[in-house]
Amino acid sequence: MHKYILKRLLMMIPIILGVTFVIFFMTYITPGDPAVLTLGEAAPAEAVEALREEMGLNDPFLVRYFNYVINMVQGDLGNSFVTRRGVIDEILDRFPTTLMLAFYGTILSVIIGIPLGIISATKQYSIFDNAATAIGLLGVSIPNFWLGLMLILLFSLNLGWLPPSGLDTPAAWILPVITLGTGSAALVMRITRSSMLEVVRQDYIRTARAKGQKESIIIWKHALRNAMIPVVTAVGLDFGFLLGGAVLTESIYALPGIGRFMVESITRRDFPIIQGGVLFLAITFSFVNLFVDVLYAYIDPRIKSQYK
Amino acid sequence: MKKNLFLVVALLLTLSFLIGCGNQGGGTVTTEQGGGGQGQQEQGGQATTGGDSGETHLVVVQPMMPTNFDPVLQSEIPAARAIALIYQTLVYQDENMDFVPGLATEWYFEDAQTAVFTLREGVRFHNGNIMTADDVVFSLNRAGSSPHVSAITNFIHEAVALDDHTVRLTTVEPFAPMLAHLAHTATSIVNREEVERIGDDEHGQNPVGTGPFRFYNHVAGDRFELVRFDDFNSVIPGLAEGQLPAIEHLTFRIVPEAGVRTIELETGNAHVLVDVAATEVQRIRDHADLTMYEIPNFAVNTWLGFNVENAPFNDIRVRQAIAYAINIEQIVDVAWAGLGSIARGPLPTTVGGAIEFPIHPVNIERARELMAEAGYADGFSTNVWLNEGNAMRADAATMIQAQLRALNIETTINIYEWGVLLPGTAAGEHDMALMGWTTSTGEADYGLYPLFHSNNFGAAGNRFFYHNSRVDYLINLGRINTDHNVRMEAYREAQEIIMEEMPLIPLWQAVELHAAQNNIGGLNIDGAGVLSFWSVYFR
Repeated sequence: MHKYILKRLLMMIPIILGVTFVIFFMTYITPGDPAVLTLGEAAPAEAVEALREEMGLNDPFLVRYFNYVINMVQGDLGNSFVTRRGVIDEILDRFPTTLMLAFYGTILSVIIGIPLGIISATKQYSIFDNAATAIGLLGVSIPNFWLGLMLILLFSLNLGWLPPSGLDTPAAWILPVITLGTGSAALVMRITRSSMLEVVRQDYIRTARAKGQKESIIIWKHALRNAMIPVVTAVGLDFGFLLGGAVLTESIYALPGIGRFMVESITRRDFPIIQGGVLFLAITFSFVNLFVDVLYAYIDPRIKSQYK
Repeated sequence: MKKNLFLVVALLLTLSFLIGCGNQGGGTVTTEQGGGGQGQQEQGGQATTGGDSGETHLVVVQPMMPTNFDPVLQSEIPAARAIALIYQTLVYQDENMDFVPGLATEWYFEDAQTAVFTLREGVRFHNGNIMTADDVVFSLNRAGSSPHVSAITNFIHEAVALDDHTVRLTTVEPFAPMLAHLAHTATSIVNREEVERIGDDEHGQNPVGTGPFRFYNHVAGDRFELVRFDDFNSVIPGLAEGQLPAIEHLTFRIVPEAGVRTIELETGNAHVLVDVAATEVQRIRDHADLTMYEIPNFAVNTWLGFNVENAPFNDIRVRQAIAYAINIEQIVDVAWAGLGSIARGPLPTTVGGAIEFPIHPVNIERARELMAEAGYADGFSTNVWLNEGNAMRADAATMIQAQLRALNIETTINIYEWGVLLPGTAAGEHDMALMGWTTSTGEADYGLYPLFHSNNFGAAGNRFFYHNSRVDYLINLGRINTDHNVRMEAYREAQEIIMEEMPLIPLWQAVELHAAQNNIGGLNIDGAGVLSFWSVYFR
């Protein structure tokens, strides 16, 4: 297992290099002179040229990329053109909010989605199943920004129960987490239901029932565990995507997270932040994927034996 | 295995809890700062400026975080607004645009290029240092050599200290608008020792000035907070000598979504909303508990500018024909939904010396005659450039496109990011452009010289590539002559020539749009968009 994890970690190196190359190339061909962006449009030409030289912008592309990678390996991703702070500092300032939001949103989706999916599968075609299916469809269909605004109108403006934005109190997390978790919960519910339906029709479940095993034990102990692989995959991927930043949720609720920051940086053409942010997210996503793969082994020991 | 899984989950939950606690750190400032009400009464005599409610913590919501708090690194209006609270300038402009003392108590001109300033004594920086001539010399020379704010500060040749409280400032050439530029936040006075100790970049995030509020903290992307500087010992318009602000703690929260900003105000979570979105104005106007502030500012926010170097717009008759063909009133009414006003000239009417020209009439027949005279009876194809993310300008472009079809002019609308638009228009790649200009010093020179003087082709401001020797001469005369009447007369004639030759058709003059709870008093907003939180109080 350890060998497998080490192998996966080593495989991340070419992935990260590939990501850095693509993003560096994309920012390279994007119109806009970083020296002008740093100094401002009205800066004197000689000051712009001096900064271009200082920033190495007159060097060939591959030289610049090589220098970027060398600095990256040494933990230096450069400074923001806009704030002049270090890229890593800027990203780490915002990552906790995104991590929290993604984590709570995922927890909510699991808490709601998995039980509903199980009940829906075990009572297939019942009123509950139909209602859950309808709610699930609604959950994945409602746009985040609309749900967010509706929740704010109801719970903040009309009822006055919860703050409309910011993170001043623990209660302020409730609306963003619901906004973010609703779509994911519906997705988890749908996947749990279909996976459970597949498993409960298998022979070993029929055998367990024939032996007179209690239904709750059959479902929770025998069926659920085997049905969990696709659910864990979906939850893991969803968590990874959420770590990339829930742009709309962060914008509506004014949360200082990665997603909003990346969008702001793109509109400001803050290239070091864009490059550093994408790199950071690629690494984060790779780690989440690795974590999910490792989790498979704990859920299904047969998979563990395949990890070499 | 179960045990391991449990440990992993427990670890994640603990981690999230710890992060959550960390995130709430910024919110505890309120309690810490909230206990100083009595001190304020004793020190500042606030009863005279209103505010007996006992509330001293003002929460402001706004769409953008200032990117930098250093006066010479500022690049946008949210930064200028914050800098005006943290720092001070040598002089200020009052509500009548007259120059009044700031960190300088008096000044005189030795000659057309030299001014001597006597500094206020006993003024402290937020770090406790006493402000001296050394700080002023350092600040002005630093501003003068900064490429970021060079448009405002490049007039500075050299500042030297004559003694601890006297500074002589010489300019590159005779420069009559000197005081207006010295009232701009770009020339704010910083503490030399602090800047040299922590460096420019760090100073931009942890500023130290002499202003009525000192920097308290900054949570990236979320908020920044200022607290009253209890050792404030200076003056600022709206705050007399010896007075302190009634507000002890200012929290600026960044809320990007316009509707949510309004809800923050409606629910009482915020007291002041800075930069109300146009779509929200009517809702706030209709709200019984809120006050909408609509103050004309120093911006001719949008004009239709021509690249007069290239055909067909090098022909004055074509430009005049277009002015006759487009319905400015209709465009402004539809695109800007009745906010602000029709721009009446190259300068905003809020700037001294601006002339209010009559609104250009619509006359399609006359327009067709002019087109025929210019040899374009059958029209032509052209383009108009504008920036993305400005729905009002996009609407205006669509209306202009439709109205110009009456002259058989086919207009392509090119909407670009600023990073493409600015270098492209600076290089003269456009035919027409919908752009604007803020005369941020409030002085006619800064509204005319960058835009219409032939020294400033391209990125420096003259994206029309407009050249008229008489206009150049008049603008120069306004720059170098200190006689007010001579200057005003020069600017009058320059504006008349510009409106006759039409390198641009002014469209919309902007307004500052801000809102506050009805119980907020003392809020003044100047034409540069600076809000006077130092004079604000709770009723």
